[in-house]
Amino acid sequence: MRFKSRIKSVTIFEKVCASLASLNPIAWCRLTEDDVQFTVIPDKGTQCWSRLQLETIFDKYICQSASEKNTINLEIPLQALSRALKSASNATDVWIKLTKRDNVPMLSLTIHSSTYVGNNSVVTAEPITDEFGEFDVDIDLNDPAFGGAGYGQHRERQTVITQDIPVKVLHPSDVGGLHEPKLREPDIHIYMPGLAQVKSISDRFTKLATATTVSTSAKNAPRLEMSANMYGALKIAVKTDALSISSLWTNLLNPDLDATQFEGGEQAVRDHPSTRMKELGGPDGQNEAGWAKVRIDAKDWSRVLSVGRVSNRVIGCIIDDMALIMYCWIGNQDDDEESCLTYYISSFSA
Amino acid sequence: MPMFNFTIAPSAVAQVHDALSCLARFDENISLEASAQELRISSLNSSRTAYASFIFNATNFFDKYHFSTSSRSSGREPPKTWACKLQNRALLSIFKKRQVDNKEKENSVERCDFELQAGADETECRLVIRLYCRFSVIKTYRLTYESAEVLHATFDKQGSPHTWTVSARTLRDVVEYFGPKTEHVDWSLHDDKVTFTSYTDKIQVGREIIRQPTHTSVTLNHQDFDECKIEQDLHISIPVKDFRSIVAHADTMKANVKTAYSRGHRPAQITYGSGGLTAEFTLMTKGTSSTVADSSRAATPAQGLSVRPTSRSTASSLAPSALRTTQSDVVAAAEANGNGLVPTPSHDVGQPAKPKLLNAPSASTSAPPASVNPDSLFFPAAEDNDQQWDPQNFDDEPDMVTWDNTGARSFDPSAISARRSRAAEDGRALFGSALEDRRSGPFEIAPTQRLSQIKGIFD
Repeated sequence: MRFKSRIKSVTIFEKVCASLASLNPIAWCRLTEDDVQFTVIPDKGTQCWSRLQLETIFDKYICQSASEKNTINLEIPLQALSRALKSASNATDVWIKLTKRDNVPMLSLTIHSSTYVGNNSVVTAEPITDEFGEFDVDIDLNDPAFGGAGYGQHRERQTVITQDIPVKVLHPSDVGGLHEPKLREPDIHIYMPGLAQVKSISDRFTKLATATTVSTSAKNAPRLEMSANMYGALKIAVKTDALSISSLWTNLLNPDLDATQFEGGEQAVRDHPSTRMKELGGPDGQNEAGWAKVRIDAKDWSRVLSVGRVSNRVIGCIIDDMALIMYCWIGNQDDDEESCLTYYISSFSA
Repeated sequence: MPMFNFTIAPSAVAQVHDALSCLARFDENISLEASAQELRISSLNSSRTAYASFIFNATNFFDKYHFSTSSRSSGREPPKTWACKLQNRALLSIFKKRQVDNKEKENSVERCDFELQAGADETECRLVIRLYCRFSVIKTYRLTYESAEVLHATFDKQGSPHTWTVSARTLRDVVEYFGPKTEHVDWSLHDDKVTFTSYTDKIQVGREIIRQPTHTSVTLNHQDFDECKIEQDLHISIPVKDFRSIVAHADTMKANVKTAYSRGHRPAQITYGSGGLTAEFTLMTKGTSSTVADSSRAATPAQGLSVRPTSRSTASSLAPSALRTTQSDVVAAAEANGNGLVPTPSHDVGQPAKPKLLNAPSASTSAPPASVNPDSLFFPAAEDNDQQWDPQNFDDEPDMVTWDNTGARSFDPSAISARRSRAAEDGRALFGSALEDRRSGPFEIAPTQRLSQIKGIFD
């Protein structure tokens, strides 16, 4: 069993971990020769199944094991990994590998960072890029004509940091029983508005609901109603005894279905629930029947929205009264194979 | 009776505050020792494995400093020092940082006087601290204290050949990499590289294994040190909590930190200072074999950290240990009767009573568990707008809803009153004046009363 790779994009990796960590402290990480999957299945609440393309994060990736497709299954503490990656945010070179210390398997991060040191003041050496390309900081700072007395003591400090995070290696049989949820085709699919907006509005609604509800027992946990139609409208609402508020977004995009992705081709698209919902929306799309609605746990939703730090291209799929599925894409739209975090959020009955 | 008073400037008040909050991380009590040359504020932790002290030089640190003893009371030689013990909390609440930081605020301090009232004609002994604030506001605090025998940690400088000196900023950068919940920090030199490792001895088993704290090591070139005279592969470790506290304070002073030690299970001393303030920490160390991983079995009770009494207080009336602070805005000029140094018999710190050796029981093993709070006083969480993505904690926050998202944490009283008045209007529409009357009483109905309850009254 061997895993070693350079981390090309520390920030994305760190943000993925931080987003997942808000759902559950522990994740199942599946490393294969094709991709890396992180799966978070909390005892209750939203599950997240993510698939990261190697080139999104890694470089010089080596993964070998006796299993099929060189699969390695690990149980990792997300907070520790996220924290360790955060400490690498200014690094020049970061490697991750699977090792053992005292017979405990470890994900070991080796972080090379270099810092310019002055007299008790530090300037982090980040490559400065402008339209002229790479600007070599070192030359100018060491130039006595440039520096004068204040800069005379500048020099580079090379620091190597290793962060060893204990992990657990899982046997294929440990994870054999875990399957991604299978749901029927959604009624509505819609590009979500900016998650920063969604989050601040949802959080405010949740606060209002909490403040105007007398008891805070599990029964009365605040719920948000989210509904959308196939005419670019999305609504988030909260209702308690004392108040009823909603926010409505319009002019959002409903992505077109790609017939090549369906077994039945064009016919499958015509029979798709979303096509029916479009018809139900009426000529101007304002008909109530064209809306699909879910009721979601507000606090859980706030944890899900943590994904906004890493993804700004999110499609929400609503299966009326059943579930909300969020596909959160990472990286460029142009890539064929994209990294994606998929959240399965279940709906509560009224 | 000793005469002791001093005056310090606002910048020095801030330094006293920093020193006190650093000491607060060692023990809840502090000891004050005054002599003609210096004022020493120190703390010894409860397990007697760490001794922290700050020495304020009489000539450099203070605006005015006066210490003298009178031999009136009896024939014997008057003691050359005066010492007492008090709770750090009491002093910390006086030397608040914000009083110094906000120059514009009306309560910013312009001068601070300290006076010991222990004269023979006094009915009760008090420490009097006066803060002279803007607009002639004077805050007077009268503290009771407990005269005490103050213990100092002894440290054998000659017998500690290994030393390194490095800027506090460098150490701060090192400490910032350390994860939470580790217990010890170990350092060693190997091939011109110095490695600081934060680790924990606690070995979890089974499922718990992934809850074990991250093991972090940071390697620096030996050129990054101002001085580095240490033996190759000699491992030594101290509690990471103490190390963090020291580094954090040293960083506020922008000082160079010097560490001297001999070997594991013997004390190490960390010192730094500038501008008339010297910090001195004596810590029991733990030896570790060449691999840190084997450290768990290396712990044996330490013998080395000894403490000796250096001074015996002669305060005549032992004030009760309970602390009483009073604050009044008496506008009265305090007597500033100390003007610099008063010649006193030479004071030799090295001479007093024979060192009384106290074994520090199980010093290395019982080092306080490092429950380091990353959001603690000296390490404000890095400013990072990434935090906006963290899930809201709806349970801990007050039921207050304000619109301004950027200042969501700040309390906006106008928001409540607006909400209240709106609720009151609604209430009036439903209930007429009955509700209004009740609102004026102390048991006002919350504006968030549920509609379902209100219906009950109508039916």
